[in-house]
Amino acid sequence: MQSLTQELNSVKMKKHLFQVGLYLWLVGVMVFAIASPNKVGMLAETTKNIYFHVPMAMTAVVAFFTSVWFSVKYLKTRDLENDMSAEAASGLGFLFNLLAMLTGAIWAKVTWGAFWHWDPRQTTIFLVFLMYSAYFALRGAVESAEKRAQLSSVYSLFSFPVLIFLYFVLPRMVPGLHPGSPEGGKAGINPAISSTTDPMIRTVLYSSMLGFVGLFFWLHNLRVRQMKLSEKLHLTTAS
Amino acid sequence: MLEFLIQNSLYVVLIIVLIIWSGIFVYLLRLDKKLTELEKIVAEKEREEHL
Repeated sequence: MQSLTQELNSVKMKKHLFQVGLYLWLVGVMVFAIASPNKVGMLAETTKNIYFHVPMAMTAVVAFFTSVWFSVKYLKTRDLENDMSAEAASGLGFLFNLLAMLTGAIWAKVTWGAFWHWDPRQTTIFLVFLMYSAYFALRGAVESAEKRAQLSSVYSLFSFPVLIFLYFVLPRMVPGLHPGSPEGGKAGINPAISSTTDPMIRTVLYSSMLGFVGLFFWLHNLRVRQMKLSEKLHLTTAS
Repeated sequence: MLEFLIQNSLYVVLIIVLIIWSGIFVYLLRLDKKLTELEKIVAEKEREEHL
């Protein structure tokens, strides 16, 4: 009992450390993002959108990968709790994908002139939106929990490679408005990892991505715990 | 201080963003705490039922 309380206390300590660390980390990111000088002249103050708009999309990728992770785990163990984790991760991925779309549309209005241009990346992010809408439609359409878990796990598994293609490959092949589009017949390179991008911009961008990914894991943890509690309470009231 | 903020209005944006993040953070912290309490209650109930 003594060691159990000690162990619980150390888990609690680690959790608080993560939470306070995450808070301070994102405070730092926000300070640097907003107070830093604008290094991209043509974007003026909207250069700073890079630090918030791009991490939304990266967090969505991490979230959808987390969904794949738990989907595989479900298929291996047939434990419905893993399916819950996969569903929660897909839901948050959907949210962050939507945030990337909305923030991008606002940015597009002021820099490109209209909210929506069907630029390759706008088109592909919309396809990702549709693809995961179908995931939730599928979940809603199957009555049996086991069958729902199995079908949606396989769906998540197959849609992730498509997401990688839509997010990282196609926008480098088709000319478009986003940075990193192909120019002069040469495939585009990702500006986020290209050395042509200012080191300061990259440092703040990566820190922001890390911060939002940390926030995703916390939100995921909260959502999964709520789902497990609901499930347990539902079972006791049903019996 | 106010004079500085009027001259450098970008820092007003920074203050607002930080207040929003702080508000969301405290909300999440409290939600986490409430969930932990609920989990304890449910675990205790389960134990009682098994006895």
